[in-house]
Amino acid sequence: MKKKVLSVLSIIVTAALALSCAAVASSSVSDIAASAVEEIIGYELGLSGASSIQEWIDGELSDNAGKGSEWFVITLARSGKYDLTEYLRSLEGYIAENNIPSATSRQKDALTMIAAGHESPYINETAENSVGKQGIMSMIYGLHLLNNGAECENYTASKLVNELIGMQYDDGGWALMGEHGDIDVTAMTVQALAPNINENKAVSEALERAVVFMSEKQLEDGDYQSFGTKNPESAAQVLIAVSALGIDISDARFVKNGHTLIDGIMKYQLPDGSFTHTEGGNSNKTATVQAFMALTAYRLNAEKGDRFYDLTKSFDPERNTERDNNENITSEQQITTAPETTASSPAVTTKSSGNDYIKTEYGKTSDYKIIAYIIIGAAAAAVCIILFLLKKRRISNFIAVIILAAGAVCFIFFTDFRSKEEYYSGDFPEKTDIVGTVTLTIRCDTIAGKDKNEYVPANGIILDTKEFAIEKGDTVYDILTEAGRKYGIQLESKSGGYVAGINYLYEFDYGDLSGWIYHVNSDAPFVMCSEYELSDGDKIEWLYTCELGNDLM
Amino acid sequence: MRGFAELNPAVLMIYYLCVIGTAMFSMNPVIITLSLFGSLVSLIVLEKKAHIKLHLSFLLLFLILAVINPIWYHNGVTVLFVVNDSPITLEALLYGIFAAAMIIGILYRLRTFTLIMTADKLLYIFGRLSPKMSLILSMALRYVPLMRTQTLKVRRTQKALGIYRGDNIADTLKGEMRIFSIMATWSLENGIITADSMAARGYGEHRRTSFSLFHFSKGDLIFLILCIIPTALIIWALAAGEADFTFYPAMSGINSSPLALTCYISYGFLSFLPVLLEWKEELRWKYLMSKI
Repeated sequence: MKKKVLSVLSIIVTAALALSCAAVASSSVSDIAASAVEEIIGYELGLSGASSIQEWIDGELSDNAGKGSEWFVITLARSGKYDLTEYLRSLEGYIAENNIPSATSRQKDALTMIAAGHESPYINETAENSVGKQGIMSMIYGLHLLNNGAECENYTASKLVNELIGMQYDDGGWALMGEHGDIDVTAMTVQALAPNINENKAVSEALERAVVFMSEKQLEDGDYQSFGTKNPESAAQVLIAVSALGIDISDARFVKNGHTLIDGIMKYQLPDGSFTHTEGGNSNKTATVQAFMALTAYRLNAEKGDRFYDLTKSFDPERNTERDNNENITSEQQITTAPETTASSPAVTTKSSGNDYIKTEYGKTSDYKIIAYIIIGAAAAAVCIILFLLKKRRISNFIAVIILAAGAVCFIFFTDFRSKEEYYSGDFPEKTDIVGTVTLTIRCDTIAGKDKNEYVPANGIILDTKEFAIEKGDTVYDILTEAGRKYGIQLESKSGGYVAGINYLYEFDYGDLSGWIYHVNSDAPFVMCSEYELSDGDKIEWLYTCELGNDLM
Repeated sequence: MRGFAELNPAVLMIYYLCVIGTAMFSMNPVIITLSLFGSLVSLIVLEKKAHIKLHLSFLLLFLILAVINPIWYHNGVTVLFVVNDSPITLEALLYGIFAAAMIIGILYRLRTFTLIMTADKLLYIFGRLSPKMSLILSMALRYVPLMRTQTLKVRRTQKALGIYRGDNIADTLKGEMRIFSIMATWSLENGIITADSMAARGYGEHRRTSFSLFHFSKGDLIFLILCIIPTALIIWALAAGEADFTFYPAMSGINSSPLALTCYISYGFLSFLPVLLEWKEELRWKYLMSKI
């Protein structure tokens, strides 16, 4: 009891402290955040080719409505400065045309509508049929919806809050599965719970424990690591979470070795304004959009005392006065759903239309095939004539020749010879019936740095998280093959589905128990990768193991 | 010194163990090439016959073995072209070629082995070690020529019976299948009969004595030294990793350090030793003839 009182006291004291020094401490940090936000916007405008933010919203973001632009739109909407009509029309169209299977994707769309000030029955409908349908993430997003005024029969905000608190682990964190808290999921849960902090003691205590958890996990540079990889997204989530709790950036619990959370995020910024997923990596859409959200969240808290996920506030200034009663909406995705917009993800953008692809492909391959058929036919005819002239005129002789020729024709028909340039050109059959997106990562952390093999990257990442569109029935193997073609990664698979080697790293290279295994949503399925059918939002990881997968758990 | 075939069987046996053993444990292209050509020239020089059919069948085997590897294995950085989703790489192709060359080289070497190591020589060596083993060995060695003559007999009989038709591929194939089935039945039956017959005569019961004229001369000693020293050098280089060569994922260059060069020269010498010996004998013969 004493402990609880102390913890409540401490959170109040720190909140007070934070508020009192916020104005002083954050002015310079605020400038850094503001300029970083400008740089990110500049980078994105450059990518999309738009000349102004409004043009960007009406152009690229609207084109990708429902398909990955939500987080940018929510963040931009928080300024309340932009006209989102075009985007909303596009989003409505997308929702009407597609049956979105993923509960969290629907919730994301509903949250975007709220942020854009759009009133639609879709919001309540989504709250009704999605909460709790897809694990903890759908509860977090669902709580954001309810916090922002959505209504649903099965759940009330307080019921969801209680369920979420019940899912907290002993270490103070939350996770998709397992026994230990995951930093990203914990931060996202805190973002959803933060508006309900005054509801009862249990909530404030749970949040206090979560704050301790997040504080303990912070690394020397102010950033975090998730699944063994240091990244800016985790720090971004924590920054949104602590901003939602009103904790200042200079709070001692989130300053490690003189480095704040913002330092931990800024460490990953590239000169062009975008962010990387790993130190020294290439620019990454997920990292960039999450940094954008986190820095905006920080500024909203530091400058206006707002929570990032008080989405309705963008449009209803009056509600600002009663913000303690109001709820915020937020959510993050990096674990379950990557908020990549389509523009930078080559997996999703394919320029040519399906018909073009078939035409060119057919044209290219049929050229040599027709010649091959002619040669086979001519050879068969020549052999028949020779047999005839040699007076070996039994009908069975000619049947044998025809059977051989038919075999050769079948071989040519079922094989497809292509040049290296053509195969790896990234010219991939356009997917016509897209049912969702998945992400793929290829890593070999277990052997990184073990020896001097030049094909083992120092950070263990062979392919950083990439997004791929899937058609119905696409398997893990299909996506791996697609990734191999698009990013020029060598693959060795036996009898269609058994993956023996990736990037010149083969099974048994590092001991009798070594080889490649795959995880989907951090879980190792019990079927071959060519039999695992993907669904929207799945997160595939190909991992190199040295102990039959036991070293990856 | 005498010709290669007249050396002491034990010395010859050691030579074959050295030359085949070292060739089998290295994928170095230089060693494999030396092994292939050494054994090929040895066969031609020792047998003094052309054997066009044998070389053609070995060539076919070589091509099949060389092509199989790149079809099934796709490691290697230099992609030549892509068939369906499988890249065909230069490294896998070269690996296939050199693996096939190694196998063909060893097959040629074994061919000279059966030519040189006649049944009496094998009995001389193994009869002392184990009577049963020498019996099995001599029976196994006899088996292939026996099969060949028997097949010829069956084929002639079939032909005489009028079962073949010269103008019909399908019929020819059917006839060959029939001969194969006859031969399978015959060899099983023959094996049992031979075993019974040998048992009735008391083979394999005790050690059997056999007469042989083999003795260990100074020439044998020199030959033994000439084959042990290069082998030791080769094993040294292989153990030190100096003669290593990797194909995957990118080919390493051929090592040309002093030890590696010593290894190549040693292997070349070992591989061509029978040829050198034969040439030396021939020169000596001509020299002696010229003196008469």
